[in-house]
Amino acid sequence: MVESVVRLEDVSVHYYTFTGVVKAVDRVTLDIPRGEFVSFVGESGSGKSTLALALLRLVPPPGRIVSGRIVFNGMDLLSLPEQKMRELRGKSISMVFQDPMTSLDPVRKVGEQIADVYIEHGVTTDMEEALKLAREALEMVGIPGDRVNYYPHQLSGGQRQRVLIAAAVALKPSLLIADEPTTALDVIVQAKIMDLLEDLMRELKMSVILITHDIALAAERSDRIAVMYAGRVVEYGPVDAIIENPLHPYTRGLLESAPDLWGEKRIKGIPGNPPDLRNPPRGCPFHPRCPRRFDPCDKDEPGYVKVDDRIVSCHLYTR
Amino acid sequence: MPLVHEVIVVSVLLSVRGLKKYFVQGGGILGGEKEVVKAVDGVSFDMKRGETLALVGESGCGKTTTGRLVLRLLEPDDGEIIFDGVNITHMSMKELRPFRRRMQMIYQDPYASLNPRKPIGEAIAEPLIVHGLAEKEEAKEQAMKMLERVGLTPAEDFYDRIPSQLSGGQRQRVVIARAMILKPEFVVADEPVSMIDVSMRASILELLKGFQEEYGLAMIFITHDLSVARLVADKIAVMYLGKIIEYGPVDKVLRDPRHPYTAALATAAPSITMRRRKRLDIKGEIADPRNLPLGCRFHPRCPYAKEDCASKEPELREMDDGRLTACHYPLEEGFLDHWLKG
Repeated sequence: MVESVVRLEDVSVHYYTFTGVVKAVDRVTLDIPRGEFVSFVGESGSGKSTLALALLRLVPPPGRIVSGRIVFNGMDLLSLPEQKMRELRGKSISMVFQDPMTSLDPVRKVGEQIADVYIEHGVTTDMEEALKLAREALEMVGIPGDRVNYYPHQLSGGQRQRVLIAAAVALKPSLLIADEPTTALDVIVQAKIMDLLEDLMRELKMSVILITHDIALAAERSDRIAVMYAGRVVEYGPVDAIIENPLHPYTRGLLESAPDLWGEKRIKGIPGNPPDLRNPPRGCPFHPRCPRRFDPCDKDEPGYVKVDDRIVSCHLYTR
Repeated sequence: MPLVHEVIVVSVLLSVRGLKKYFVQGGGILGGEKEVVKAVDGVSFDMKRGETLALVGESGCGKTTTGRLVLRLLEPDDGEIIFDGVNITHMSMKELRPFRRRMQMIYQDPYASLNPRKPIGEAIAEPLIVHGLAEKEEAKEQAMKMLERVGLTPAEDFYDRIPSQLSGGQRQRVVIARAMILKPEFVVADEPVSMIDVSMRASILELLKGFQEEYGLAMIFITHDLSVARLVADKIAVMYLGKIIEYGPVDKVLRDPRHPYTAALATAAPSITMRRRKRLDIKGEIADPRNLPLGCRFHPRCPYAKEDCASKEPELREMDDGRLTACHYPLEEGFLDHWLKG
């Protein structure tokens, strides 16, 4: 049994909106092995970003984590006092968001913004000392140290994302969560940022969770992939197995929907629309769009089944 | 309205020559240095009826500006746009009106390009009324048919809905319906699927293809995604800092690039079938367009740059296989194949 960095048990996150309860994350159970690169892949509304926020207990209202346990280093994060959780954030678990421009303060030098992390977490009380550490952190992500004095607008999009990564890994966390970190960037820069994440993962012996809509990006970079649909993890397992032999019809559909420069010159797509999470379909949430639906799919919800080293939530495998 | 200048017998629908657009920044009441951004800097290409040209490149390369210039949504600073044999470059808004009907734009964001309060049926009927092609009743009837055609059925149910009652994919169908109701001959589609969920992209592309076949539509498809470009396009133009740096049949250019920048883009794009390929890495990021490098604009990032690349700007020239490449030292034929195997 591999040691896990974080284990989710039956985690549900609901948003209490005026028009109804949205089950954004619905009873998710899985283990993230230590030192691995794990991607959560899904389309809009699949719950992937909400799940990332739940790991840091940062789900904004009207959202609320309504059930489950998130076990990190032997502690259940969901039962920690807020003060303790605040200490963990940025130190043991860090997060990088999609848009580096909105995550950085435009009127403060980037070095100061990284230095904040050291001061907030009590590594030092001396700003000079913190700035020295910030310089080292910048160099670690491939930015010349003298750019501590730059303002965000003086840096390119890729460099701004590197600054955020520097701040996120400043205290050498054991888990880094990256939510669509390269979606706003061009492909060449994206490739280099992903290289950086992989390098840092090895150097700092971190685990990485990548949240992405891009299954090709996930396929290239991950050890393991969790495919999400309508708040559920429908399939989770080692990347090669998932890419070469997807078990869940949604995973297969997603793979066949992705255009590929080196693959076939056509894509298939999945008929229909994603479900309204205020009013999800009965049974399996994917059944209205599923090419392989049969008798139980519109009545009973499939549980999780273990198939070799994968888990899958589909009636095709429940018997 | 000017008379048709000449009868062009060949099926060239659109001909663009030396198109330029410079934006001036600063130098206003706040002072500061006046800076010129050469967004589009001498772009030329021809398009036949029914043909799809993909314009690709990183953000800031000028692909969207080129699309807008061609439709005369922006005033070009130099160059010529010949549409169906007529020079439309300097036409007044009034002279342009009959051409507007024949050329349409499809935007990236189906949320921003629809009026949130207008029922979608009316939004689709509107262009017919604006162009005086139909009275209200007739326009409604045609809009109903169009709703059916784009798969928003039953049409009566959809006609009175407002955009917020639709999914992203459904909204993009409305945007396409609105552009297609005038039966245009030419359309510029600017990243039409990049905001659509992956599982619904195929059906949107399919829809565009259907209209294209039916109307013999020529299309400029603007995208940052090479794998999407490969699916939809016949020809591809790769842009870098306001210039086309490579142009030709889509498979030829993407699978056997002769420009190092095209090769870098092609090997950087994530791929499921070639997960462990060797990337052709280039240095840094796209240069500041206010401060273009001398010589070849790509030379500071080019792994193969030689001395004269920093002084002499390469022109697009024909390679032995007929495609156009703007590089003093183009890659050899079959380069990428060897690279990926090696």
